[in-house]
Amino acid sequence: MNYSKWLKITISLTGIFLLVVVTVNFYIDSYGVRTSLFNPAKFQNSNRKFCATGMNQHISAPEQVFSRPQDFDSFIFGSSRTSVIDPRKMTGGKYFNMSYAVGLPSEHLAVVKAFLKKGIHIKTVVIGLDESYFSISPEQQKNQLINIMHPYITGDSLINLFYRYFCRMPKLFEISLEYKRLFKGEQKDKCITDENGMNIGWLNKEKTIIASGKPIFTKEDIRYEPTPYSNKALNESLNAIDELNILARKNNFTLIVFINPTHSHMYLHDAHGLFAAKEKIAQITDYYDFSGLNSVTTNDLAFIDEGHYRYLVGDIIIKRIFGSGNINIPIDFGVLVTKKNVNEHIRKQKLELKKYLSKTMP
Amino acid sequence: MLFNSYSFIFIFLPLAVLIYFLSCRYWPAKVARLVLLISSLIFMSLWNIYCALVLISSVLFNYLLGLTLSKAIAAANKPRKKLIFIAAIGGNILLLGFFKYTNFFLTNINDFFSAQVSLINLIIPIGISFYTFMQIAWLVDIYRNGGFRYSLIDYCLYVTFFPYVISGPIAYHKEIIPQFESENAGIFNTATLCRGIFIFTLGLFKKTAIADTLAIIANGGFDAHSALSFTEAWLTSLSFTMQLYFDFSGYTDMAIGIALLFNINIPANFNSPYKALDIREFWRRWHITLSRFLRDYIYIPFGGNRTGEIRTLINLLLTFLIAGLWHGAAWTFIFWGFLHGLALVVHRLWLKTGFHLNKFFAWILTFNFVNMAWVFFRAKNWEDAFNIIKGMAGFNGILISPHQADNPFWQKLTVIGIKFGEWRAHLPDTENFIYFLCLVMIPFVLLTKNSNQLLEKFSPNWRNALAIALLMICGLLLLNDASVFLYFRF
Repeated sequence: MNYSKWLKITISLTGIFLLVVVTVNFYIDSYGVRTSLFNPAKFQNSNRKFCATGMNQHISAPEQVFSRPQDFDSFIFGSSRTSVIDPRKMTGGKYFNMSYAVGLPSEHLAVVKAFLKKGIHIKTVVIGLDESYFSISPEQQKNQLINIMHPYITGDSLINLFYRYFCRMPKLFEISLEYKRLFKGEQKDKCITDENGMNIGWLNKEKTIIASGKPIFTKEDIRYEPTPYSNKALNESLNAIDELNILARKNNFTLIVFINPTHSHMYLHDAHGLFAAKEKIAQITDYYDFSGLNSVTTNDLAFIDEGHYRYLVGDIIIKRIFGSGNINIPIDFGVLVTKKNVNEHIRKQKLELKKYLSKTMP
Repeated sequence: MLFNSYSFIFIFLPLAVLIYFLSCRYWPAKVARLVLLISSLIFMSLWNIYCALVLISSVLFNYLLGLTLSKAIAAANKPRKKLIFIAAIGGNILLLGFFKYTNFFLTNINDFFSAQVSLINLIIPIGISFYTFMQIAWLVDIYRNGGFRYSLIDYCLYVTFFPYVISGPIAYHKEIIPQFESENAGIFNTATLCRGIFIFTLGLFKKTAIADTLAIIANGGFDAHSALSFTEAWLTSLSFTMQLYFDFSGYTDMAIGIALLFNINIPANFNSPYKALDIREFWRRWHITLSRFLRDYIYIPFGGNRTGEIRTLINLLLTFLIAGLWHGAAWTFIFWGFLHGLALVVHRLWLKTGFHLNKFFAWILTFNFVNMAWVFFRAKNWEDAFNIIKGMAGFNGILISPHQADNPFWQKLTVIGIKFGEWRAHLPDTENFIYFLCLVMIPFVLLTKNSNQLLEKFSPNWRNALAIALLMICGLLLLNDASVFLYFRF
């Protein structure tokens, strides 16, 4: 074979292989990007099974609002934890659950700004805060395929977005998940949402807990390893909350902030970092604090796993904030924290932590 | 602009090649070389205009002093020759020292004297370590032999040639400039183009598919702030050992391939270094162009092995201390250089005993020494380095997967302290094969031919066309996860 022929064959084969991979990626659409942008109506079919790796909700959630702006005027923002909160049970607005994986305040701020720019009338914004807000910087997750934000919000071009999702080598786990989805119809534990943005991927787990009356996760041994928080991430989050607060006043919408509960075992590692964050948030806005050591966070039955609470807990949070629903609220679950009572609240939580540690880890 | 980016592969490189060969066809060779020089400066400016300005200043400074030195030698003016030479070498060392070592120096002053001198906000110009060494080599050659007067364009092109300006190989003027000046330089050659594509693709695959995958475990392990267990520490260190090789040799393959597209052969930098059976052989196979620079322009001027045994050993140690410092402004780099220098000293003394190690043990010893020394090279500070070393020595516990708890073989080993537990708790949560990729790569680097050997034997056929197309597509599709090359920081 001569060199010219070799060159032509090599280039042609490379082109063919490239075309095949891009076509397959586009068809299987592992992160639901194509579906989100071109067929958002598909999200309203709750029986569907698509997106092998779980949807990129940073794209799908805003797109659903962009495609039906008249349907929503209030939004709940947060991470996978808040995704189980049912927006239909919230009062005072037409709510959409905007939760996305490891959602950060700076991302919520960008989305709210984009909604306002699009002329969407906003009545209420509810934000569920996590400890990850104070340890993860937006820089760390902006290149992760599950976390890339909607192109309208970032100003990124569609070509660039498609290049990132479809012109790439699929990972082995994606191929394995896609195989199971296509040929076995399996799609376990992946975040899929209903038409109001609520995660319906964990409903089966909720049913299992109700039916069995037993926890469904294996607890790790109790450990106390306080996580060091990054000041940079904390400041970025506080600045974003501050800006949201200013935006709320300027655009006349209500901003409600709360801190998500996590299982007591997980809370132990984050408590110290959270104390500092809680003190600072109170200087910006009032908030409901559901974290700490209370009758919900120490109850294994209230959790799907150590990081995620059940739909039932979501209902209790709604009841505490909005007063709606027919559910009993444990008296120690959810404290309204203000500038005035923040020091007393943190003092109490520190005392509870000390008692808990001396009891569980003498 | 990275070699492993779409904008470089599909826009910059094809345009640079096309414009260069069109220039060669329609204009005099000097103009074509000027065009290539402009392409190189654009490449550098795309990184950072400030880096390009530092590069241009350095090149002009050296060219001016090099020509003056050459003239002084031609005029047999010895005092002037010495003065210019000292000024030129001093200028280069000062420039490199200022950009690379000022903050290191100030930090040490602060630590040592408990002072609070503010650090300077400096960006280290990319490639400065490489092009400074290349120019020092030219100046020393003139000082030793006189001559080597080149036109400004040829000299500038030699130093700034974009395939190697950022991370080497450290090519010598006498092996590159004659190629630029050769009559065949501007003649487009399909065979050279194919050879260039061949080795470029191997390099791209090594970087994006192998090195960047190994980086997941290496980065995770080195960035873990907890004590790593035995398995975690070994997987981390071996992953970095393999990552560094595939990253740097991948970069070099790409550089060789790009240079071939312009009909220029640049020297190889690697020759299967992990096949080495002793540390001297390792340095003959690893970063070959740096090793020869250290030998020709540092070790030999120190006196080499001509000034007695003790002095030879000291020269070896000093040369490698400088090599360590050249790699980075940190005590861990200097210690890494010291370890290698010490190993060369021990090896030299060992040779004198007349004993010979069995090949297998010799390889085990060399490979493990190199692997252990890379820990200091990679760690951000002493604490991180010793965390890994302690883990490798088993001081942080040896954990075996709890799935093996029923296995009688592992049960017996619990008497020596082996425990059942999560053996990768402090490593990133990723696909299983990635943890063990570093182990798979050990027989791979030992049993396969390296890219330069493959390039030598390359002849076009269906089989390698298919293989290159597959590797190219993997390399291109993995560009989405692209990271910068490790040696860019040096």
